[in-house]
Amino acid sequence: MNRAVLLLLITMLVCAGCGPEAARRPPVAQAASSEPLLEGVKRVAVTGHSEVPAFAVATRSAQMEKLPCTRCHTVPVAQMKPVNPAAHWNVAIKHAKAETMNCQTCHAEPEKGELRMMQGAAVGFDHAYQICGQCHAAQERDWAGGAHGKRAAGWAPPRVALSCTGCHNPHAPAFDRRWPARAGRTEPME
Amino acid sequence: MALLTALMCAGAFAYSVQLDRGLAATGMHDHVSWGFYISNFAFLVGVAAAAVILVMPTYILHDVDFKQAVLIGEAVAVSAVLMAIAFVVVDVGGPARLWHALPVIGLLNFPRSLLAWDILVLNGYLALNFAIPLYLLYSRYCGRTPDKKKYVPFVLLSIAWAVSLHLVTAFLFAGLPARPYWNSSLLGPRFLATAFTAGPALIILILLGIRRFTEFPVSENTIQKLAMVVTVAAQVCCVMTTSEIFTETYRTTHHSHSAKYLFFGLHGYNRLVPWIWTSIGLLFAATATLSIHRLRRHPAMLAACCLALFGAVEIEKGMGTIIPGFIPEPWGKIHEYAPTWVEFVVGAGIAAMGAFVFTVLAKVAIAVELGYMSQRVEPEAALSTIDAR
Amino acid sequence: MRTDLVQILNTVMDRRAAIAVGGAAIAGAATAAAAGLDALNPFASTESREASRIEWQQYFQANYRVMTEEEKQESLARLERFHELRNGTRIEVSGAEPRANVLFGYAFNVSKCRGYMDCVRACIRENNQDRKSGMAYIRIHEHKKGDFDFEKADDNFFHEVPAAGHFYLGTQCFHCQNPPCVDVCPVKATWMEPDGIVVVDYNWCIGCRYCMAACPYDARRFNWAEPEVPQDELSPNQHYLGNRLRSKGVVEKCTFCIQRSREGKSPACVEACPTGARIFGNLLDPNSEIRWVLANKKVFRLKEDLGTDPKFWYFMD
Repeated sequence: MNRAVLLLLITMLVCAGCGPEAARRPPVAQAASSEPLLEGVKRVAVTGHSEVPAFAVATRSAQMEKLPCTRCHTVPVAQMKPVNPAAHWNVAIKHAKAETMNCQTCHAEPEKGELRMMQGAAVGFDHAYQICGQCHAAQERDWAGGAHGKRAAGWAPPRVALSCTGCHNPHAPAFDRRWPARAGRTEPME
Repeated sequence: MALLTALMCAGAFAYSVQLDRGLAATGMHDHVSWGFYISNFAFLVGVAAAAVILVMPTYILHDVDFKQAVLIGEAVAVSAVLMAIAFVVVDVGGPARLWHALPVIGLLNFPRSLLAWDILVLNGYLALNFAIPLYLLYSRYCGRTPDKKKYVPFVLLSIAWAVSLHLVTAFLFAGLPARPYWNSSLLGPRFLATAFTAGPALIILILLGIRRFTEFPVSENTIQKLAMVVTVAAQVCCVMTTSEIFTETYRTTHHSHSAKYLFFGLHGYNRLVPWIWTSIGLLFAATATLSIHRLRRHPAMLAACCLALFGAVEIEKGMGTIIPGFIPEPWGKIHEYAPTWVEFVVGAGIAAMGAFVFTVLAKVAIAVELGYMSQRVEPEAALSTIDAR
Repeated sequence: MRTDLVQILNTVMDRRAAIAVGGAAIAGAATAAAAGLDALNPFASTESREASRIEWQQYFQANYRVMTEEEKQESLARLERFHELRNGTRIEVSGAEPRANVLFGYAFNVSKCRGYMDCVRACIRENNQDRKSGMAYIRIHEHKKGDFDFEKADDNFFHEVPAAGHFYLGTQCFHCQNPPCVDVCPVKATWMEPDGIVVVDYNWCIGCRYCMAACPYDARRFNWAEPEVPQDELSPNQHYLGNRLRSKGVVEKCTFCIQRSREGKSPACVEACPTGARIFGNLLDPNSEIRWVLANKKVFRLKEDLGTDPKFWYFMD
């Protein structure tokens, strides 16, 4: 009888130790989706990256004011009369050395399309990553894989990445030095 | 007794301040998240465990010398355990939620959490040390001879329990790889060695007091045997301290930064340095003195050494063990810690509570041992001053 | 004799039933006590009576992990109602369960972090952390280039960033797959969810702070005083195990923004980071970014020698 009581005590202790884990309900079977978070985000499929699972990139053209270029650029830039020389007044190029890059490096023939690869192929603004990747191949590879850049929303599939221009200003791509956000206290409280 | 009651009231008031303002009323913060309370807890568990040193020879080896002191030892154990429990209770953020640790209605993380172990062994030890003397005294009160079959198994259990009690408390800290200062296999043995120094030293002081102020017979032999225990334990402490200092200083790594902070100060922070060297100085001086037979037999010298050792261990456990484990914090920053008045007053209140409990227990024990109704009834005041520590 | 024992054991084994019975008894006692309290105070308004009844029920509620679905819903409703009674505003407290085949993981790009601290700010806001004590789950360490020693890093900088010749590295809860903090909790108030998030039941935590001593990464924070969150900065979409309001005397920590991540959103720090240094995703999804990082970058973890198996990796471009 004594032994039974002892056994009982030990059992009680052990059960107290491991009971609740067993009582866990099964997890939610439905997979998480970023789709509800992507409402209103326009996207296009990324091309030229078959080495990684297919993903999309948030579009750029919808946010741009002066599209299409051909609204003004009807003839090659050299032949344009300086009617409105201040059209791109707010663009200051701080991107590589002046002898390496100028407007023409990316916008070679605006009268024929938005962007132009060095080899001559036309590229839309939505696929600007192809232009950047000509020099920044390592960054583009990391971006396609997911080690560089940000997602438009969420962590769950479907994956919609921000394009290079989602974070970088293409004309001055480096991030600014600035003061850190006030992390601790916000405003003083009463 | 009045003084103790006043101190308890002050402690209760300070605790009410702490309950109201939260633990922000203490000096603890996210980097040193355990302080004065848990340090005292660790120290008192050691004192409580040391009662076994009296129990073992008395009940097992039938040593007459120890038998006289055993009830006092058990009273020390009971009051020390009560104080230790009280120090944990005042340290938790939600004392009202402690029922979560009760069996059946709560959810104790046993056997995984060492703190769950500690809750069990502390309460078990309290029950054992309360029940065994109670049975013995009650038998004597009724004029019966205690039935060995009834109490010897529990005595055996309590001996194993006392050792494991302090080991479990040491494992509570030693089991944390996050804190390299504690994460050492020496911590458990060191806890035992310091316990067997400070516990019997306290009991010697109390016995000397009792011999002086009551009729209770305490033979010189008892005291000398206890003194022998204290001496050997203190010698072991010296060896362990030396071993620790050597290991931590010969080739300094990041893992020895806590020790470096404790013994020498780190990056200009050195709040604990004077304390720990005081402790080490007291330990070595008292140990050297006690190691000489003639000096150990001198009552005044013995009392002074016991006091020195008790103080040395209290400083070592109270400031030199728990707090440096948190300094520097896991990413190497140093945030020092100093207790506030709230912690000191709550601590004093708990100490008064322990002394109160001890006085009551010792009075009952002495009265019964002296043949229940002794002519003299006033040793109360004397006792309460003796154990005011 | 044997059958006796088996019977006894069976009774004990059925712990959930025992808890249910015990719980019912306690709930009964709680209601009675609350009723007693109300009866004693005839001047209390209906609202304050309701609030005190909710407090009593919360005091006696079970550990979140052993609650039945019904009890969980009740405790969520209590939190919402209590907030409404106290502040007059509505919050939503979710009890969203983990999803199948999800195990969260995190990667931090040391090359990208520039010490802007936007993550810290977003985290404090999203998780309703105490403003008064300046609590923050995330620490950003400013290292001198060429020195990885955390002791020499500055985690309290306030100057223009990035400072010349320095790099930045953030630490927070690493959601160890083998978490020492969970082991040591004496009352099982903290545990790892099936999706890998280490959480705390703030109503069950007794505030012993053993977990804080056990964490090698300084991931846990304690509410030393009653936390203060301005009403107009309150994040109202809450989770029981996440950013709901804590009270003094309990431990809290990063939950990978459980209130967001279980809904498919990224944690607030990931979303706020302007440089893309923070990558979050499902370790069980072979197509996720985090899996690509682990497979293609040279990653490392901090204090791997401790065997905690963090689900938080660092890498460089």
